[in-house]
Amino acid sequence: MLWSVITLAAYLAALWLYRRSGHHLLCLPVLTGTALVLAALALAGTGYPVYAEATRVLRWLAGPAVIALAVPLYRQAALLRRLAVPLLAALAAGCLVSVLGTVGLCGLLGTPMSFALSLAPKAATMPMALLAAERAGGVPAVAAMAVVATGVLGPMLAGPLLRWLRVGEGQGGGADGEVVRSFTLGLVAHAIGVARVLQTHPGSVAFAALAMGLNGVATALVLAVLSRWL
Amino acid sequence: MSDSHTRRWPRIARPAKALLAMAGLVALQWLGDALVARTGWPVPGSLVGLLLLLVGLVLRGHVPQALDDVSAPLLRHLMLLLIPSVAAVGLYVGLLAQHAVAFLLVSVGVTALTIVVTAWTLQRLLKRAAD
Repeated sequence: MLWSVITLAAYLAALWLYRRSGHHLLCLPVLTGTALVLAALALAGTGYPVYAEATRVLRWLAGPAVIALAVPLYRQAALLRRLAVPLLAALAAGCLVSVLGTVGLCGLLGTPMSFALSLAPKAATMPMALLAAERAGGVPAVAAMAVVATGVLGPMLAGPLLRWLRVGEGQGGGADGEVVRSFTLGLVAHAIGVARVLQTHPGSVAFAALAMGLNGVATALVLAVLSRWL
Repeated sequence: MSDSHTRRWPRIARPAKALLAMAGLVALQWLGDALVARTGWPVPGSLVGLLLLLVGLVLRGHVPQALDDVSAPLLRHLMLLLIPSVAAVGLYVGLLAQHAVAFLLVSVGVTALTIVVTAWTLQRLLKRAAD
């Protein structure tokens, strides 16, 4: 109970810091909140297993919260009525490349399989990535680091890469370009990508949110099939 | 008397319904976990719960107010619920340091590749749909 309260306090402090920093990426509440909790654990000389046991209720609640992701996904799914084939094909392509590319590259680099399976869901939204990594035989905490790294890198890399692909150029390409940009950022960089689209192209943010929701589900499914097959 | 009654009712009914919606999410979690345990599917139980809820919403055609009342705060503060799991990273600092190069290469390389493949696919198919 005490550790749940300390976690809540760390979270509130992290939220405050995030707002004060003008939503700076290095001040993401999950990073600073975790750092504060780790500092408290070190100060108290408490080991992680004791902390994990004490915060069982909080960890368990993440499950119903993931289920609640169905609500925004249902709302954004209306966008699929018009563009179902292009959007779902892009989802399948992006999701497969992200998961298989990660496991493949990790294999080439000689990392243990559990490490590869931890990084594999890195493009998914964090709650889904943690669950998917755990179920596949990876480490949720390592998955969280990969999710953050991908979320920070995605919007940075997207600018030059989309320019190189000439997205949004050519006759009548403006509207399509915005859909491509938003959907890609939501798929590859989850909530951080959605937040970036909200700043730069608020009119098409629903496509980013849809891509994030769809890719969370798709990544968990692909990883499940892969983990059984490997 | 009856007037104040009808006016007070919704104020009590809304939290009660929200509680019911929360119980519904918990029930879906149990159902998802039970289905996964029973069938041995390697997916998280919560994902099964999410898909069941999605089917329910599609059948129903709208999001009930009570479900919205519960899911909005739950989703807004999801990070609070994740901190206890992420804090386990303290146990894996060594593992991450050992494979730091792979972590970096995968983070940059696969993210770039995913962006290119997703954007290229969507761009081509949208153009074809327009023609």
